[in-house]
Amino acid sequence: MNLRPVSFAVLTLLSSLALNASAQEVRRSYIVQLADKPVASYTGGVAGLQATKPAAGQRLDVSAADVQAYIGYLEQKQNNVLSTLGAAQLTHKYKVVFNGFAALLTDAEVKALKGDPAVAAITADEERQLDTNYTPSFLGLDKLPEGLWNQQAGGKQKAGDGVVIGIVDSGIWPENKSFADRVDANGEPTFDADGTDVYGAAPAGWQGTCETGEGFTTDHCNNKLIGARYFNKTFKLSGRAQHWSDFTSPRDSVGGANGKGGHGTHTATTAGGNGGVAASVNGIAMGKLSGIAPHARIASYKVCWTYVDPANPDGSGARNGCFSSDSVAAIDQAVIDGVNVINFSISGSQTSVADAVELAFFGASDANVFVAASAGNSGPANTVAHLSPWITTVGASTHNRLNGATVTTGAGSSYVGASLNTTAVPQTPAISARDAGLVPFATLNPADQLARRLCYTAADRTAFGGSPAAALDASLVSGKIVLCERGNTARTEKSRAVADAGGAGMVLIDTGNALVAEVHAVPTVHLSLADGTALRTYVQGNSGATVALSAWSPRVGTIPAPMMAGFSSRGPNRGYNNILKPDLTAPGVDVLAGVTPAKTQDERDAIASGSAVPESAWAFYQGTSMSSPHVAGLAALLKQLHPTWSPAAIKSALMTTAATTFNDGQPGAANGMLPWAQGAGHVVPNKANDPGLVYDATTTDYLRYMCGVGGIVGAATCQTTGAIPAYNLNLASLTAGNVLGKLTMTRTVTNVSDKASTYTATASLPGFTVAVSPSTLSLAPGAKGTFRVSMTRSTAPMDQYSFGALEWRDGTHVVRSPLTARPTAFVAPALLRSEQVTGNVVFTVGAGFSGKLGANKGGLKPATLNEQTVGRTMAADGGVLECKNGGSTGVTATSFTIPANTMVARFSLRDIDTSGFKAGKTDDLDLIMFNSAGVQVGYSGTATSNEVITLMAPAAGTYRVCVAGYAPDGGSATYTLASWIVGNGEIGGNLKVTLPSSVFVGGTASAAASWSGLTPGQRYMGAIQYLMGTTPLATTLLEVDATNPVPLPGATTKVAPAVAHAAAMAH
Amino acid sequence: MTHPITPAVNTNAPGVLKKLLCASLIGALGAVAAPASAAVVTFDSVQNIVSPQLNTGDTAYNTGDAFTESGFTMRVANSAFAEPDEFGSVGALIDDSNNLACFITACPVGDGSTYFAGLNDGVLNVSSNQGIGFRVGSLSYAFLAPVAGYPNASYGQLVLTGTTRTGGTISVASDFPGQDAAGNFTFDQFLVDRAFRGTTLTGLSINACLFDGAGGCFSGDREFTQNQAQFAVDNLNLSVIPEPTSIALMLLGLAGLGAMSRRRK
Repeated sequence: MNLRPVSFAVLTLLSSLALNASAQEVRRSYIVQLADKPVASYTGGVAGLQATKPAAGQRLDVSAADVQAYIGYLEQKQNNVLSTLGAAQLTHKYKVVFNGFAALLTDAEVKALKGDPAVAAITADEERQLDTNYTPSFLGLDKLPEGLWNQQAGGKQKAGDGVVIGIVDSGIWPENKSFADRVDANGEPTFDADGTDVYGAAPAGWQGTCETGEGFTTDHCNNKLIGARYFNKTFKLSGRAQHWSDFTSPRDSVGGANGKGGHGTHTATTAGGNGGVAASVNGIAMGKLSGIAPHARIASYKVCWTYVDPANPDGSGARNGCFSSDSVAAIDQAVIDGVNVINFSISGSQTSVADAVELAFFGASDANVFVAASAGNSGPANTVAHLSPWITTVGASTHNRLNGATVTTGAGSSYVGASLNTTAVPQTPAISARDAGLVPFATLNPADQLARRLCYTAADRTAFGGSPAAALDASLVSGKIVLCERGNTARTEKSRAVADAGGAGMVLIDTGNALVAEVHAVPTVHLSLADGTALRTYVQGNSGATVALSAWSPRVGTIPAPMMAGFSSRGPNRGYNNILKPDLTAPGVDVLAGVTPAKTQDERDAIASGSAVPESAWAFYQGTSMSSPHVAGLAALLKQLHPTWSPAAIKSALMTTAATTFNDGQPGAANGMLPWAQGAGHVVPNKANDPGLVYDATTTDYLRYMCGVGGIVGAATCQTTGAIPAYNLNLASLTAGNVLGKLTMTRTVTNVSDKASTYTATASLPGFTVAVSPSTLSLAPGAKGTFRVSMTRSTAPMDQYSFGALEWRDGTHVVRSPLTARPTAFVAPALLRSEQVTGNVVFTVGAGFSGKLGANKGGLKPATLNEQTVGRTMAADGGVLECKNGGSTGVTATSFTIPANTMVARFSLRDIDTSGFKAGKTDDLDLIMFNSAGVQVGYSGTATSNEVITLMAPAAGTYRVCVAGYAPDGGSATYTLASWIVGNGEIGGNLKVTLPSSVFVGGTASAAASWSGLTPGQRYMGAIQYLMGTTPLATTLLEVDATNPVPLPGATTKVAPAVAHAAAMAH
Repeated sequence: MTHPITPAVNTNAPGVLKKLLCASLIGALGAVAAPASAAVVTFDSVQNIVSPQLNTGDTAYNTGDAFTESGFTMRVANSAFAEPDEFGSVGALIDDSNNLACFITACPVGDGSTYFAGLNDGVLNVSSNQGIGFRVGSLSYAFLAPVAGYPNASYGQLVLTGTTRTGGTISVASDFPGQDAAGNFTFDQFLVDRAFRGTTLTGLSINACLFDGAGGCFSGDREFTQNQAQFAVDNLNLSVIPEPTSIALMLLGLAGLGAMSRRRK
């Protein structure tokens, strides 16, 4: 039997040769992880090489001899692997937080690497997107005496002193006084050489540097902005053309209507910008603003680049993209440089921590670097990203500062909304946009009705749909205040449409999102949906209706805050349902911070050549990109006050002292007050300084967690560390996604106060009996106490989450954790995969009941393949309506009949089947599915053409599956639409399923599926539905891919930047 | 007296040799000292005994399914303590070189070929329809855990229970081996003691028991084992004991083999 590996190698060789024939020499970017631990995580084990992981609270010292020796060892091992690759284009080598490299590889090289024992994992590189003057006060940082700014000598002027915040983002605008290291005679930040340097030299051990390039010299760094680097190797090789608005240097791209810059400057000024910086937006003075940790040092790591995209519907002709392999290089370098905190306001995986960026953050946490990351802007859907337990994932919520103005009706009613209106408008005739056209609203078709009430400009009607019949008409609008409704187009474009028709002002009626104060083309106030609807009722019901608009002033809003933003991505954690994500929430709506000014191409060129010194700019942005740097800044403040606290301790302190948000009215699991939206709650930083107890976690804890999950770290590591179930990872949240009747979780708390205390536990979870043992803990300062939380289901409905809490109180501190659990009757793998034509798979199932187990089965069935072509859809909805209407040149529709008793129907596209991909480019195609009643039943719209729609137990009927050409290379693409419709009992490939005869409550059992005689090169699907009597319990899908596949990138959404750039664009 | 068997001879025996040996095994020997013919059940080339529940290519086995290899019949069965109406997964063949063959289930490593997995407290019954019985020389075995991440320890024993020609039983048990440096349960050689090796059996049952933490190893209580008494076995070295009258035929067979050997040269 020793011949097997040889014959397997031969087969591998043959099949890769065969594949090469069709995919010859096309190289794509991959991140290759090697088996040895990176420097920040290495705890010994290689003969002659000492451990290099830094001690608790310490910075990694890259110059130390042990570290250099281990780096030399990794270098040699990397070179051994690289030497097998020949012509591969190497883009990055990683050693500190991640061991491996990124390179452009052919399919054949990937297949060869799959078999190399020195290689731990190969992942396809992914392109990701970029996801406050008042918020420090809203957070109470400036309060006396308890404010976090006032907890060290020097107060606000020293808040964050000695701590370095690394911003991994789109670069930095160094002219902003938020990054000055001097103050003038009035104590205000200045770059003037005559000012007083209030920072002094960079913290001891700082290894960072100031890289130079277009519009960036070493003079742009100083003792505040102590490092600036850029990472563009993969971007340069990606085939994307850098947009003129960007700079090949650490400098952020220019802003305005034609640029996409500002994001990195915004996050940097929010986290650690100087205090006392006078800001203005479009010429309107906004007072002085401050970062959260105003005396922290900033180091900028630019990984996001603006590239040419003529198809961007916003008309800018540009987009931002951030390649993971460039990001990992930046994180690696930031840890070498010696940052204490990293902010990462860039989208991430929604399904896995086995992702190079997430694993790099694990290395960073090993090096005692705190990482804050954005939860994502795809809410209120279940789309939370950045699932790693070793980072702090931040949702976005509102603050109560309102830049507001008052709308007063002729009838005397008044409403307050968001506004930056500088010109008060007296009582003026008002009209609803619905009534402001020549064609009556009721007779318009649906697209024109939308275009009318959302106040489209002529250009918007071209981009988003609508005919001239939808236009606002000057004869009806001139001199009036128009009530427009939010949606689709940029808010500022709506006031442009009103101005074009001669309107005197606009009231913007919200859709239930968050109100935005911004500069409009005509005087404008943005009202909530309720207020705006009341106003519209008045205006439409009174022919002589009049409305007055006041000028704006800063005020405290009447809407309770904090409240979760609708766009903040919600949980549960789609990769690991025993880990709560997001962890907490912080301000992310209407955040004022530094950005980059609007520039023409000539002006940009003058900056690039150094012949012009640009001004600064500020803007209100919203997004989890804005909330994450708030938490990064808070971590810097806590790091300064508690230098020995680990990243986990800082995260725990922020979580257990957090407070609930106000009800945002979202239905069901999306409600903002549930942990899926707010995590442990909204940060209360002043309490986080003295949390009483923390739930700490070390490298070993995380390794045990990963060993329990399986497939992330090597078995050799797990043998040393052991494994724990994910629900026993020592987090400040307690989450169990599958409680098979009963479950016990274990936690350990550490007393981080300077007093001995006795804590008493209370815990509750609706529908469960909960016991905490022991229920009291007496802990000396520094002492640890371990306890167990046992939950037994009583009345909780099966397969639904219950939400409760665990609290430890000592009379002074309240240490609160969300407690979340879902009772389950049965757990089985959702998906089993194999690559064998004759084979089997043995798998483990778990039961929440005792008794007999039954099953239905179907498959294995080969894919039905349709070779098709699609053009490009320009529709704002990505082609959904065109699909509903039967297809178009940009949306290819195919009809499928699904018979009764179907277990699963699946439709999929693969990147590797598209014409653009085969030519070494990319096609972005999407899948849309409707039933015969015209109801949308499926959508898959990632940023690639790897799309899949899976319907479990679909109703019988005729369905329409559409392939939408979102961005086909060159305007059209050919592709292969694969489909499987698997009926109950429709057996192929001799599929046999064996199940345990009896199962036991809380117990496991083995099941198996076997098949034989499949055809090589085909892809098969099958399904197993488990039954308790006749009650369906769960379904397992079985995929047999007999094509020897190469790794695919995970799914990424393509909409993230829309919200982040809300100040300039539509949300 | 026993007949030591060298696995290499058997595993590498060319097909023609196996056929000749089989052809010669048409009788049986009663005497203890009689020459025995050896076979190894490797699970690499089993033939399913096709039934309404079992197809030719199936490698997952339910209660009562059976297959043959090297002249032996292997039938999988429920735990002796299962309810009479229980029917389900009690065995599978697992290819050690297929890294997708086990999902969540922590299958043992290092076998290098296909082995038999006894699942959910199940039993593997081995019988031979040749000779007057057979003897067990050696086998390799491992523990099969429901999930990975268990500390490195032995969690139970593999139990061999033989039925003797007089209808009595004899048994031998050995602690399951632990894990390798990578945290995977591994295979080891099962120590068949002298008494067991020297006893001619008419049937052999293989199952697992689990330690109860108090010095005992139980397989007799489904509420205790709860589908977790699972095992892996491979390379069963078995020798058929022929009837005495067949000695002459067998010698003829060996002579034939010698002749064939010479002709090939």
